[in-house]
Amino acid sequence: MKIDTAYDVEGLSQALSELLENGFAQARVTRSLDDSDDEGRDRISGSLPPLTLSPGYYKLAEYFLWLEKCKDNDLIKGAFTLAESEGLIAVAEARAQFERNHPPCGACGALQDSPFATGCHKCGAEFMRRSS
Amino acid sequence: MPEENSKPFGDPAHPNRPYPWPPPPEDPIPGKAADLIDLSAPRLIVIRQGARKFDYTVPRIPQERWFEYFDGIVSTAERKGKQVVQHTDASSAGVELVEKVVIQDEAAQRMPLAHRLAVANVLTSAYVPDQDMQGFGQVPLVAIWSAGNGGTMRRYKNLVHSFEEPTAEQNRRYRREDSRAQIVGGSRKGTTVYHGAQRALADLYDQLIVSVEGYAIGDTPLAGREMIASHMDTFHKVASVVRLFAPKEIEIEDEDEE
Repeated sequence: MKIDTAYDVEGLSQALSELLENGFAQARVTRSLDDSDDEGRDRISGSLPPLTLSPGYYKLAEYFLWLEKCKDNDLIKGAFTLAESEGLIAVAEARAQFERNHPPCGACGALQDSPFATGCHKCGAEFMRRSS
Repeated sequence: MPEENSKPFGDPAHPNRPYPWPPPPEDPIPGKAADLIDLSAPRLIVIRQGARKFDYTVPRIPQERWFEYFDGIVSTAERKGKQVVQHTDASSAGVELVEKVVIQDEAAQRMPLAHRLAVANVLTSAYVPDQDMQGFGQVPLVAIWSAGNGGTMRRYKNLVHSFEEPTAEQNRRYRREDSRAQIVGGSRKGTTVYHGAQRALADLYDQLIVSVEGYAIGDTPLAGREMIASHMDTFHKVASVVRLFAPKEIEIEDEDEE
């Protein structure tokens, strides 16, 4: 069976989530990579969240991330196709999920590794836990 | 008079070659019609095999035939562990193209497969050389087109396509088409089959082209958007215009070469 990536919203959403997570982790380890030897680089690179889908999903996801940027900057004037509107909705949902998973530090704004972090990895600010 | 003095010219590149030497190749004169690719004339593709010489005449290839060729290119990617393995096969599409445009009589039907592949390679030989654009939107192209008078295939290095800057909307169209794909065999372990954006690229070429150098219709250099759009070889269109949308290649130097 053939799957047209433009109409597989579920696959696209997953590809978007994986790209966002991968990009976040990549930015975090860049500094560590610079200070590492070859073996260390291999180990750190290997710890990045994996991309699990067939490559075509990521190419489409990158297109929608680019399209979102163009839309936000008012660069695109023409109407969106049905697949493009679905894709942009998928981007918005994937971003919202990503932001829930990585809330920003109230003091310095750095995105945290998880919503359950007890202190900021960058500035060291301690987070208050809401009592239920 | 000793024979040495009667030699009309020296051949320093081949000092041991027996006299008389073949005349040196004619230097191309910029702007001379003979150095332009004549898009209105059929192409003569010559293949030499030992002492034998095979001539194949290729009439002008219509755009629709080129689209069939592009549709036939198989471009796939699949994930093998952490690696992405990409695969492109244009040879079957090339052979099919040759069969459609060259093989029209009974004699040509006996054309060997190796010749079909060789002719296909010539028809699809245009590429952007590994050099920077001469200015924004000026794309140089190198291509083998047709045999010269001596029956030797010539490589044209003086081809230039000058474009307007694409709009965001045109960039969007290219990227949308380029990201189109189907997955065969499941979303995770399946193979991605890319559709290709050549049809969109040919259309974008017609919208963006401003002028070309190195092409003619008969003795008249090719000029003006409409004339260029209607006469330019579609493979040359696609090979040149894609450069406007491709990311700039980064020069990399190995550490030990510093």
